[in-house]
Amino acid sequence: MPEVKTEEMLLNMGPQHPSTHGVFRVVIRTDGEMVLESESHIGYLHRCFEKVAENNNYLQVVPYTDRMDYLCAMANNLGYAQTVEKLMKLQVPERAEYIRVIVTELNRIASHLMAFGTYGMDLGAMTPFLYAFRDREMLLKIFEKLCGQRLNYSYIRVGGVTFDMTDEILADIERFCEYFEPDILKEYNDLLSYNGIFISRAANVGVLPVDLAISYGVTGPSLRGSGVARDLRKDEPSSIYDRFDFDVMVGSGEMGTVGDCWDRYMVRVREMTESVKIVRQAIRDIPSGPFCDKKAFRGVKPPKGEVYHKIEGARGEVGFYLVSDGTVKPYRVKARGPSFCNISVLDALTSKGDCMVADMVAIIGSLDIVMGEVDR
Amino acid sequence: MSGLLLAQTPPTVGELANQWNTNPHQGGLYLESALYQLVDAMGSSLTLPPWLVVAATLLVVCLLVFGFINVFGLFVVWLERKASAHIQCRYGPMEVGPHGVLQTIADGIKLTSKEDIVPRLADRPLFVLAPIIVFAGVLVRFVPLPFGQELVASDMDLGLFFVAAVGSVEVIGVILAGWSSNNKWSLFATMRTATQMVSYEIPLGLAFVSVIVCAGTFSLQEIIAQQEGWFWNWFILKNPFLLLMAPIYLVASLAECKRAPFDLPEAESELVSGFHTEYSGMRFAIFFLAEYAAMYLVSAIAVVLFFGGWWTGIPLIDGIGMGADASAGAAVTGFVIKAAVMVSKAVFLVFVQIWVRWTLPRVRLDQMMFICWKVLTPIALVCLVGATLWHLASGGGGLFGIPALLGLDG
Amino acid sequence: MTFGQYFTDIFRVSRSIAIGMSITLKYLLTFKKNVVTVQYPRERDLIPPRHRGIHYLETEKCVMCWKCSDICPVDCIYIEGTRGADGPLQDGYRGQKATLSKFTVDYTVCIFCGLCEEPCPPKCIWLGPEFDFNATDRTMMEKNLLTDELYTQEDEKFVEWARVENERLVAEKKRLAAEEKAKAAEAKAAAGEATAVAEKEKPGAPKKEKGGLPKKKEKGGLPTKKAKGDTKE
Repeated sequence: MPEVKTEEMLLNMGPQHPSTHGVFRVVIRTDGEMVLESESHIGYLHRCFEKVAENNNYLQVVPYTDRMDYLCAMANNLGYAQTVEKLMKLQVPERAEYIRVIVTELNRIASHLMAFGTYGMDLGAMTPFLYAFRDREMLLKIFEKLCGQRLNYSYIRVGGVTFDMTDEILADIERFCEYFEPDILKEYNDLLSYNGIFISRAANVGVLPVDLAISYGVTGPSLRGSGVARDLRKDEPSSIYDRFDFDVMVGSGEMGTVGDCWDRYMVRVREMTESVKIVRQAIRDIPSGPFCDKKAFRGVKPPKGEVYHKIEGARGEVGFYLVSDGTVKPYRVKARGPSFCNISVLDALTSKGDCMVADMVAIIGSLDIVMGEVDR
Repeated sequence: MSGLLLAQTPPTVGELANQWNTNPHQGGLYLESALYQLVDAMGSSLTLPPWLVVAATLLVVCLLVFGFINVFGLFVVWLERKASAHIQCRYGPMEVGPHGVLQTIADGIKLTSKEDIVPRLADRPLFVLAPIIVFAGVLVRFVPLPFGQELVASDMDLGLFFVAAVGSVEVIGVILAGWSSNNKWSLFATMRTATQMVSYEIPLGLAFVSVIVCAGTFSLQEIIAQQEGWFWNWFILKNPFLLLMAPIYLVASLAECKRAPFDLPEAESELVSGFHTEYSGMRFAIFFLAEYAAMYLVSAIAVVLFFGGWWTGIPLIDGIGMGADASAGAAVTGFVIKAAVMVSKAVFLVFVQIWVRWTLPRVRLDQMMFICWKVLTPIALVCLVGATLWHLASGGGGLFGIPALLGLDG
Repeated sequence: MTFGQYFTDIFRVSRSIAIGMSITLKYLLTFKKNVVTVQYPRERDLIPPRHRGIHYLETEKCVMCWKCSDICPVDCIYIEGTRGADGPLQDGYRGQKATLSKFTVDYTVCIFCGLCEEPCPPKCIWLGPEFDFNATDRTMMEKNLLTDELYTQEDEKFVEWARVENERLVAEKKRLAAEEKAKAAEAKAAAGEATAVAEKEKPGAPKKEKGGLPKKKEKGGLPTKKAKGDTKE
């Protein structure tokens, strides 16, 4: 009987695809349904943030930092502001620090809700996406009350925050925390996380070994899903994160292997609980006082020097490397987007030979990338 | 009928009309007999050749079934959009018509007015033929399907066998669609679809066979007739193995219709639209309509086989219009009630399919094959054997035959 | 896979599916209570006072210092005119009212960051609550802040309705808040605690009422602007 000839197929999960989060191209070489090799192409969303930052003064760069990781814009703002403050050795008022922590954690919840919703949608469950957005809408309304915008806030600037947080907004945040914390999260877990079909799609898929993760520079929930308890809020706390009591969520191979997609996804879902904890503590302890350094708001001229500062964004370590030459405009701003390193691990994960095309979607979704950060 | 047409003297329309009245359960064409009676009553002054009358009535019946599919398609698309929206805390279509009831008509107009794009490198004859085959495979299966008592296009002796057999034609249509699109992703999806549809015909067929064993006939009207009486006469409650078989049938039917959680063929987040990515406009509308028609079909078959067909399960209501001494008004009321019950039960099962779609994520290909071959098929085989033995032992009485066994029946 | 594992897997998966379906059924049945859609444009949500929408300018205060234009990260503010006489330093800025011939914001470029609000010494430019901004042509996407012109009559009608609706929503919200306060006060009185507990005043968080929009600019008329923006001393 003659041998049946099979051929490998070269597929293009092109820049426009419903489940690559943003414009991102993967060329897959498949043998039937099994992926043999994948090659990712990025750069479709490059907007020259770093070059633009050289031509604008320190205040004007803030709206551009918003648009890097647009789903967790407060973290980007915070990272940049703290970098410049570190260089200037500027002390920000207490109240501003507390407000910054509150909004960063709320934005982390919003970002993780988005990740949760879109991951469910990638795997076929359309309903949790809508539920996540319903809750995210409440957060966006709070942000709109606070600073006027829903997505690109430019709220945290060098020296403090732009608007003060009124009692009404604090009451809204408390109400949200009460609505969100035990009940809605339990509903999400019942509907999606512990669903048998979802578990079989996400568990034991895309196992990220610890050494591979560390060698590629993966950070954030993707690294914590592999069992490494590294959270910059605990390990290298900036501003006042050391005053809060929260746990670092780590994947433990509950439903499959340590470091599979389910672990990474579950780390995100559980982190939302911890963020609510932090927000509640901050609301309880927030002092009164000025909310910004007025002189810094008028214009900033850091001394000559260079500094690197990193914070824990929703997707990992957001870092800014700032070189200043003493003028009102930075000499060089380099932004480290966590999704850039996270996405680089995709080719290694899929080339192991046990990944199917449907699994590729699951892996990309579980790494939770935002192309704005990858390409800047 | 062929015997009649080949007879020496061509039959009159009256003879044709009479022929089907005498033995309703043996290959009867109910709608046609009604139409023949109508023609007969209109006067034997009409000297139409019988083959013309036959052909015309067949065409009318076909169009009636096709019309039902269209109307049902209009309704169920609206139902799906509203149900999915309400599950997701939003409104759904609200603009066109009150609460969006005319939305599907607007969608249909939009689809028909679209440009007919056939990709340049696509295999044009196959590209055009594929939706037709898929739709034909579904439409033909509506022939033995009853919509009410004596409301069926053609109650064949082998009705259930016919439904199962013609269902395989759809697979050819799907393969043609994916292949002729000249699109790697469509081809990918097609191969998945073909595997899925062919595999899930096994548990489907086993479900059919177990009901046939308990009913003793392939004819759908006969099967329903055996479920008369109280609701525990329904096949799902006549036999514990059929109680286990019903979920297997429902899951397999979900896979046959390519509905979530088995919607790999049209996995939106992976393959944009699966095997009908390249189809637009009316061709896509044909695929769409075929999918919803198939959903109704498998739900209606489930109702016929397991859930009592047109009987409500309460003899008081079932008895309206039955019996030789019923008045014309009662007969008509009974007829309408039975049709309404049959269709609404099927629509309820379609609603359950919609509900399941919007709750569950998608299964992967290998998991889908695992479910079919390692879960559904073995359990279906066990149920088949068990159902047969139980039926032999209990004699097919209601409520698992236990009252009959214990001698509580009359 | 052992025999027992096979059946427990089936059972566990079926149970999780049933739980999930019960949640969606609950949402389906309690739909009226749960619906979150706002049927825009027939219904609107309340626009908070700090909302950053399209710009407004108090022309009689502008001294053409170009501070807003300089700070704009994307350079979308175009100002032309003649400066007024330079005068003594007052309220932190020099100069008197300028004669503006052009003051437009290009909305194909503007990113609504709000940076232009702060450096303005007389605080005469601000971002308002409108966002329903559409045009059929790129040239129509520039707003002339001197005349507050909107470009089509339908847009004007819609924006006017939106303003009225927003005021109604604000009034409604105030009414609800007052009711809640009254209820809370009653509850406290019933519990025997001290009534009239003053709210903890946080200095640095002024409770200035955020104002609405200026009246339409008539010829020679001055817009009346209520205090807008938190005081940033």
